[in-house]
Amino acid sequence: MFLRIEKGSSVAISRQIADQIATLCASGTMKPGEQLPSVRELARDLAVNQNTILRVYERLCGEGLLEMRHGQGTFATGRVSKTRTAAHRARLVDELRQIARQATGLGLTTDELHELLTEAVDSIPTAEALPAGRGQTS
Amino acid sequence: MRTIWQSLLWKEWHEHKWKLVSITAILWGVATLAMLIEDKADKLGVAFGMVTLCIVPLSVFVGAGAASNERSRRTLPFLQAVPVPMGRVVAAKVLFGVITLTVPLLLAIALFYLRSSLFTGDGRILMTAGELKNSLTGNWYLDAIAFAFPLVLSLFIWTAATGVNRRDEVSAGAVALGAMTAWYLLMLFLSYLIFVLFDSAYGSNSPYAWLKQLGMSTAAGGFVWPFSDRNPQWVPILVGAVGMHAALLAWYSLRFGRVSGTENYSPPAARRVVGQLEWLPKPHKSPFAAIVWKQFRESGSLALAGLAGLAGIIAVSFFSSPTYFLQEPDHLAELILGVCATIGCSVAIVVGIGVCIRDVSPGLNSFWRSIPINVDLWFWVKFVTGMLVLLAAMWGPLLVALFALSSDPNRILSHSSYGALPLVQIAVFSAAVAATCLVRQAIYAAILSIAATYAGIIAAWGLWFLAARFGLAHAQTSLLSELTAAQVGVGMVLSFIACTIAAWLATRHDWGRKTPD
Amino acid sequence: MNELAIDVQAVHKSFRSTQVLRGVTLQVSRGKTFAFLGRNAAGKTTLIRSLLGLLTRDDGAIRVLGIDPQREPLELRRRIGYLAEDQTMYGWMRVEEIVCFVAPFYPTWDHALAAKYLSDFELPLRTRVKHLSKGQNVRLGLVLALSHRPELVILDDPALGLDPIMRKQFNRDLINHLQGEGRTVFYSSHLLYEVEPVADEIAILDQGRILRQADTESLRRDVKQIVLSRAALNRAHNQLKILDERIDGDHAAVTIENFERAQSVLGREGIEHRVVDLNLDEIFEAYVAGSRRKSPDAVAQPELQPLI
Repeated sequence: MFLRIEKGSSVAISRQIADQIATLCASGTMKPGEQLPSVRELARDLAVNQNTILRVYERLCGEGLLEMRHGQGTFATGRVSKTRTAAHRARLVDELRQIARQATGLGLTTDELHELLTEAVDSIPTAEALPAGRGQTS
Repeated sequence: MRTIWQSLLWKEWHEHKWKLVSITAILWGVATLAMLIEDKADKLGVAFGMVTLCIVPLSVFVGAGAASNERSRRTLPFLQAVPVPMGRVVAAKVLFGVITLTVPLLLAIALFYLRSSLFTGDGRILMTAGELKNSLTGNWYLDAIAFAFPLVLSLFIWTAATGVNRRDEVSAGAVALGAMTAWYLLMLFLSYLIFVLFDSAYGSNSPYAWLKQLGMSTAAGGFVWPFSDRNPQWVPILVGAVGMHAALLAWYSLRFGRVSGTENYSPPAARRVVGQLEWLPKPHKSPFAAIVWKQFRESGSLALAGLAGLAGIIAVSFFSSPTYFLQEPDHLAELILGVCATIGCSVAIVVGIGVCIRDVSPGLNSFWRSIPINVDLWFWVKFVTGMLVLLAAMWGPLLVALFALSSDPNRILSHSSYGALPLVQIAVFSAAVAATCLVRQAIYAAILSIAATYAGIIAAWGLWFLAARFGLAHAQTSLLSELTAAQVGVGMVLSFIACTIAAWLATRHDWGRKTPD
Repeated sequence: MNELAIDVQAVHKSFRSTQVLRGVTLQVSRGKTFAFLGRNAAGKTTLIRSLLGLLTRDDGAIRVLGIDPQREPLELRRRIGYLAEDQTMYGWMRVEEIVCFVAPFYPTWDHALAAKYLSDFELPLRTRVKHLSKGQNVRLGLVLALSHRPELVILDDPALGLDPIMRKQFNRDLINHLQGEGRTVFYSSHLLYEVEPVADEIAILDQGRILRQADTESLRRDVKQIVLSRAALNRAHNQLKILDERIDGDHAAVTIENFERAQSVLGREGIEHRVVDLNLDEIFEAYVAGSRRKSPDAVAQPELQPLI
């Protein structure tokens, strides 16, 4: 499992880790039933406090993305977290609003903006052709 | 705006002003004390001799500072980065080194003048017919200057040149002493060789005497020796002395600062050798054993260096007239003790400073204090170990030599002035330890420890004076009567006790000059 | 058993006329990794040296593992591990010699553990201490500080002078060998972004005072920047706990503490605003700037108040 921590970011470390694990699960890189590294291992790997990792795992378990099996470890469930999708969606809407504001600033008309958006959607390859990864691998 | 010269001189002045003041204080103290011993107001030979004895080690200390204080303070990389030719830095250093040594000497001589003018009116010091014959100028004061100034200059230049760029003053001083002794030995050996080969009469009236005088005058303060010859020849002495010291000065100014200071260099990670089995040895059994181990490792080498220097000086004295000493082994034994008396104190200072100078440097001071070390155990083990190492190194071989050489060692040992010798050395040692703990800087500690030892003698003299006033002691004829060996002994014990307690308290409470960390 | 590893109450310390600590109060619970942040000369080293009993305090109370460091410094130093800022060790000793030298002073010294650390840290035993690199020097300091299995480890700016790779390695050592074994760690730093991933809790020290003590996550939740109009700021000014404010024309950006309450205040007043998340450096800067504005004796720090 590749995770990347950005030090000095305005996003808290625990949220960076949680978001990346959630993305891994959502994109299918992390298969349902796959085991995650232990808290100790991941902490050493990322050079991050063990309690932080433990909190992330617990939160993701609470959301249903992961499950802790006693004595065995932590595993991906394959479920999608409702709260997380909702939060994601809200953030996306926010970003779209920003893009719209910038476009207006550049003098684009609504139609031109629609057109650019359609082009952008068309340029995305189909899900099968996607390499098994995301932008944030390192 | 200051010019470069003003800046450099200003810097050196600030670095030397306290040395100047303390050396003046010491010389005045010694001169006062010596004038009390000497009861003839118009004769100050002994007093001047004591002042000279004092200024000799002080010249070495000041020279060691000029050689290495920029490195020991880690200011050399900064100085190297400043766009100023090193030659000017060196010139400023030499100038102030010389001022620091000669001005106190002049002031001490001025004190002599003051005293003899109080007694004789015109301040003249009378010289006997024999003295006049050997005199250079016919004037006692000018003679004193003509003798002491070149001596001081020579020692300063020798130390600065041979100890240049060493990593600290202690090491610079040690290297310089070694170099000076080695050069002396070489010169003596060569002149001895010449006479053995070419001339059976090993004396000063041989036709090859000028060769010996030329060689000797190149050594540190070596021009003093030819003057004891019956017919000193000026040309070879001047050529030898001026030529050698000019060469040394040139060496000092060319070498100074031309060293890649390793202070700011961080070494690459040292690697474990692959395939080499590395065993961690067992730890020391007790804190006591650990401290003793450390102390032997730290002061053993210093004492050995001191011993080597001592052996060198004895060899020098022996080679100066080997035939005489071979005929008179008793005189050789006395010579050995005499050397031990004068040089032993310098070794005691060096060992005393070496015992604790590292442990009071800011970084190490907080390191060992953060370990759960019992401070009392730490101090006493270090102090006693250092003292034992010193005494063993100074007296062990000397006593062996004495008993081997002398027909009647007890007579020599029971001579009153030698009885106090070990006492003087441990007093000087404890003064050096105390001074180092308090000022945490080698050169100042050395200067201060000499002052502290003399303070002990003055205190003892004061005690006797008071005792006499209250009728407890035998009243002395006058203030000017001679100091007895007992008084010196009591003074040393007083100084030893006071300095030991001061050093212990300073270590215990971490008292001392602190550089901010 | 006392739950607090370190308990500092209103400690004052002056050197001659300079006040270095002015009533420092902080508590560290056992088992936590506690980072202690401050600019240079904020008083970090002074506080740490007082914790060890290397300095005497002028006023206040200190208990470390329930012990007053001034009363029983030796007993305390036997139970804690300490690594000084830029620690100087005897350069002439070899690595094995310094380990064997330090060992007898600690009754609980575990020589086998020391050997294990030395091999984990890949320290060459026969090399003289003065020939070690900076990173190796810190690691040797850690071996000396950890081999007696101390309950509490105090590290004074261990990352100082380490390059980025060595710093990461150091953080890893910290997590492996200290957090992994449940020790309490108290360490100072001025590199905030290095501290954040590792520390459970942080305290910000400036001009001899603790400005804030909190765990890193709640600090981030609690301190935010709010951008709003100047008129709105004037209305809400008294109800916000403002650390730092910057004004540019009609707009104002204020860094506030107690974000939840602030949001409810702004919601009640119907003030339109934008919330900006801050990184730890910005939070630290806001606290320091805020404390300087409040204390009149502080020197003006114009570089801390630039316009947006």
